[in-house]
Amino acid sequence: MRIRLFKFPATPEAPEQAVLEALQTLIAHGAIAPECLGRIAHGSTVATNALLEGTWGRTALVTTQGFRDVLEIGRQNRPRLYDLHVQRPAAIVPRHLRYEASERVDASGTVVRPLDMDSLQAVAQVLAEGRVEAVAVVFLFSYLSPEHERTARETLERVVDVPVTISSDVLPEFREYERTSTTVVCAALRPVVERYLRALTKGAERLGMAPRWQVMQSSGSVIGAELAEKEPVRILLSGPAAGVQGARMIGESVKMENLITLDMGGTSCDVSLVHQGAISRTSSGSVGGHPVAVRMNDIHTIGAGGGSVAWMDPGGALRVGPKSAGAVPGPACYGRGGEQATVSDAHVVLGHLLPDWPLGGRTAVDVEAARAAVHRLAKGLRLSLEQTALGILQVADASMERAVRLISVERGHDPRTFGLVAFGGAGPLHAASIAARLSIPRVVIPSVAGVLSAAGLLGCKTGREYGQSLVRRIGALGRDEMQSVVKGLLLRGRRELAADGVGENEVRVEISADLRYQGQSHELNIPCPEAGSDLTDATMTAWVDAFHREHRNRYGHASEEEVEVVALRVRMTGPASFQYIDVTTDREEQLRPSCFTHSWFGPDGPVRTCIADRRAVQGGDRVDGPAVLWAPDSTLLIPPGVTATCDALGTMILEIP
Amino acid sequence: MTRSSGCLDAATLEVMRHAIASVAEEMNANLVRTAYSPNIKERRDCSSAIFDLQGQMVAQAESIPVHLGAMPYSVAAAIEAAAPLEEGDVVVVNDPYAGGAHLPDITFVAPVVVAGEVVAYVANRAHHADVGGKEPGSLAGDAEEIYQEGLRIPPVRLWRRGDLCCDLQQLLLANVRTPDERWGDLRAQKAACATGIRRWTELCDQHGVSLLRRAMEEILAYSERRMAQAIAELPDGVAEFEDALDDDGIGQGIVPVRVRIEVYGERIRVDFHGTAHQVAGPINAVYAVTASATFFAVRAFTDPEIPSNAGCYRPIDLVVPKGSVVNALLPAAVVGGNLETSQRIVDVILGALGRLVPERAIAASQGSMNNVALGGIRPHTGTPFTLYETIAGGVGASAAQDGADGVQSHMTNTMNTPVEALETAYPLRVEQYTLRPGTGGKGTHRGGMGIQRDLLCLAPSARASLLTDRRITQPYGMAGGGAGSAGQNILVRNGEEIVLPGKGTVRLQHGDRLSIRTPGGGGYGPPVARSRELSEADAREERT
Repeated sequence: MRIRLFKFPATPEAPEQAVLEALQTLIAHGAIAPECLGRIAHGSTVATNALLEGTWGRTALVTTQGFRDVLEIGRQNRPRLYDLHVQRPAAIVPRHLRYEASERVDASGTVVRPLDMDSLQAVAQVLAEGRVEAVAVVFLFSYLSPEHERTARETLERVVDVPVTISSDVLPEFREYERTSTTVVCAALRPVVERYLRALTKGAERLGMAPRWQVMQSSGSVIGAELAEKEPVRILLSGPAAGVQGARMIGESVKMENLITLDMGGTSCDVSLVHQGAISRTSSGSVGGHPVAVRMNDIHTIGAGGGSVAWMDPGGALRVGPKSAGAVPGPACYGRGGEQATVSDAHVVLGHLLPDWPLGGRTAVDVEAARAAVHRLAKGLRLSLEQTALGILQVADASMERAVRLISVERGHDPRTFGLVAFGGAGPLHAASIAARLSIPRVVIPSVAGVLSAAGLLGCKTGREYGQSLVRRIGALGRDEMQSVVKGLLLRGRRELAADGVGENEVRVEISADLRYQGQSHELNIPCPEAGSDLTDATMTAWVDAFHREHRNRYGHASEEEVEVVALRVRMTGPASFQYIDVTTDREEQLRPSCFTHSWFGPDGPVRTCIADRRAVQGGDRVDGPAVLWAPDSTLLIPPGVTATCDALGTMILEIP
Repeated sequence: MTRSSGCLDAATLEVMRHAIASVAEEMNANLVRTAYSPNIKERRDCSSAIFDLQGQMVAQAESIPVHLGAMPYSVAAAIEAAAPLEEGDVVVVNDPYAGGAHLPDITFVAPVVVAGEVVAYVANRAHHADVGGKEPGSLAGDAEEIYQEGLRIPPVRLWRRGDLCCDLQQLLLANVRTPDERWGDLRAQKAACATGIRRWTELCDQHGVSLLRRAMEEILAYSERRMAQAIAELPDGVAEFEDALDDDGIGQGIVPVRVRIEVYGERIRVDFHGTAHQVAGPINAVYAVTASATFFAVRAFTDPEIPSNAGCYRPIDLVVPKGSVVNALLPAAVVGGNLETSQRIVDVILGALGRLVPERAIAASQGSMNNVALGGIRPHTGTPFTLYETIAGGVGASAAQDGADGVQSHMTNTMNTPVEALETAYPLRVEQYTLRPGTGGKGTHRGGMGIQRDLLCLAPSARASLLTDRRITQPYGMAGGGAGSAGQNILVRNGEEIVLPGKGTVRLQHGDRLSIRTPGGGGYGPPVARSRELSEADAREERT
């Protein structure tokens, strides 16, 4: 398979433009023939941006009587402990668009107050008059008894010509606030994502192509565009998820299944963890302060990137970020008028980024501007220029080290048994020093470090996850009922995957359960110990045993208490398109000749360092630090004492002493 | 990389600060991860910290403010009572009269020994669901002596040179209602100490004991410098403020809390003379609680970004008369001091600071934690249940903005129990959970709205213990803004509404509805100056 990489600037005012321009360019270059294009795998921040910027569709919410403020009260805690001027993100649905319907289901799923159609008609009337683009319906305990929500949807859809999203469809799981928030986010993003994806497909049609559009989900697999339009809540972390997926694939290609991934760009750094080949996932994510309880890759983001600004705080400590110089003016070394010292400028001062080796393949390095910016900071700190630059990198590394500790040590993993996969424009500059701080023995740098997300997208499987809350003791629930819940989920999954072109025989099924001891309020996700969807008594026993074991592993103790099934989950995936990312370099471009310079790696002064074009490094080659390997999309720093080898796919593996 | 003067340079200081803070964070994460009870695991009612040889706190990881700066008193008591501590020793303490806050908060202290010498101490504190006493949950709203509130543990070794002191263990567990759960949590606290010791030893290996010692000193000096600067930015002057608690729960009305604040240069003096004498009911605060509330208020008012450690509090002089409700003496009952009185201490300090710096003044927030403990027998299984909740309310308004509606304020930040989780676990039904329109104090900026939470009793009978305040007094407004509405506790029985007192226990029957209505926040500025836009939004959204 031949892969060619192109990178195009985003067009934030009309995001579909960039994609369509890219397709047009590819056609013009003869890279693709429009009529032969089979599928497009797409990662998009359209949904995320709408949520962060508040440009969602105007939405109404219907709740059980007495609970219209659940969306606003949330879990009643404030985001910042010492903030007297508490500010929570504004509720997506304002209070006057939150309506109540008389109905009630109890904790056993029994209707204790029937749905009063009159109260619903009143709501429908107001909706018909008001100009809303979407409606969400969330009733208490609808995960046990969805009938009231379904009736409400039918009734409202007859009156109002807008999409009605019900919580038992989006997230049939308990905890009303998280379910309400997720359903409302889903409803409010529907108009936005629908407009965007339709503009894309229409635009592609005009270019003479009719590909299958697939969109990356936060959970690391792709779904068809039609499903993405209906449940945009699943594509919120599309971009970062693709990067982690790419990192996992790279890990697979070098036979490492325990990985910490570090994606460092211009303004922020995303870290996540892959354990035994599986990406850590969470159901307690949030975007812009709005909880989104669908399964997503567990990615921790901190404000440390190449453009992060270094500054001296009032107590005299050197700080880095979270403020970023952004793309405009950018770091001082971009030569676009930036005056504040950034992480990139520190690299320039220390001789890691060099004047004749352009950043991102385009931007020439303005050494004088970078030195001037760091110098201004150095004066205040009363340190030398290089000491200040080294300090900036140390502080940035320290905050990333803390982020890695958070996702590894604090969740019971020892980073020394993991490899570090670093990518993004700035990741390879910091990988070796962060690994050294955490005693991580090996660092993996993908050959496409700057565009790993795009590469990761191509290798994603089509897939979906379904869950169903039960919250009942396993003894009372019984095998048969669990079996029928699983069957129901599988049925829905097969139907939806078939619509995405995945054949019945290609579907891979993973069943798991969220289990806990009765009385606990936190659960563990335990995979079903047997493959296949038939639950036997032996399977049930093994499942519970696996829970006791995992509880002991994770928390240091197990219990005699009866086990409660909080939720059953099913993950269904189609086949992967391919396993490894094999990028053949574009040989047409001229390689830069290597040379020597003097670079700083520590306080003892500069050392003679080789600078080379990374594209010249071939499979089997070995590079001893100190060295700088430049590439158009990112620069790899190999400190003294570190040895790097290149494998057949162009992946660099660093051994950290 | 050090400067010739022997001080750490700016970058090393910052790097070491990250390193030290992450040890405290890892201890706390380990505690949450291995704990047994939901109160620690889910509500995260715990904190962990590192102390230097003098017992000065160097770094702390906490998730609720009431633990802020209160642990040093436990550590000091442990060092004093059990010195010299040896490798493998672990001291346990909860006695409010020996460095604790209230009995449910149990603190562990252990030395870090490198090459035969103590180089630092690690400590952690967790709120235990039960430590004995007259009421389940050890939150008796009508206790008159600490002896009724639970088991008092002075600073004693539970592990000696690595060996568990089994006699003591048995004594402790014989005095609590759920010994297995207690032991699970205590073991988690021990494990967290071990994590702290291991990580600190690693740091010593990496950087050397002497660099770490210097780093600790400088981190304290750094926080002190920043706090001194933040105080220096306040105008010099004196201001006084008085507010009150409704009652002590067993008969005494209005309990005044008074503070006099003096800002001079880089220091601030906080003097509680004029505050009521300690009372018979359980709302007395010990010194550590008052210190904690004071640190919270000063830190939040000045610069919350300053890393919390002993240095941060050096510029604060605290004067607290002995035998007062904010510095109670044995044998006063204290469980509510930590919960309710701590909120009022914050109210008076913020009130006084607001008079000194009118442009940063903020009106009072709801000023109660609205503690509800509800226990009884499940109808079908006959097993006992106990639900403990705190309920959010209105936040005070300021010159900048309206107060937030229905959110936890000041000394607590614990989460609610989801309705669907609550009804699955208890024979109760939540009938309403909404904001209370019109409860925020009027003003140019209005106060936040309180909350109404109605619980329907589905058990044949149950007991509800209430420890709430601001049912009589109201959260004050600022700069001409109106007071927030007081809260109300109402029992609806056979369609009839009975107003309940703020503190006390009530017996519930099947079908009774307990309606807790929490206070609103105070308003800021004259109501006539409220913008039309804001007024219209309030009317449209039915908030006023």
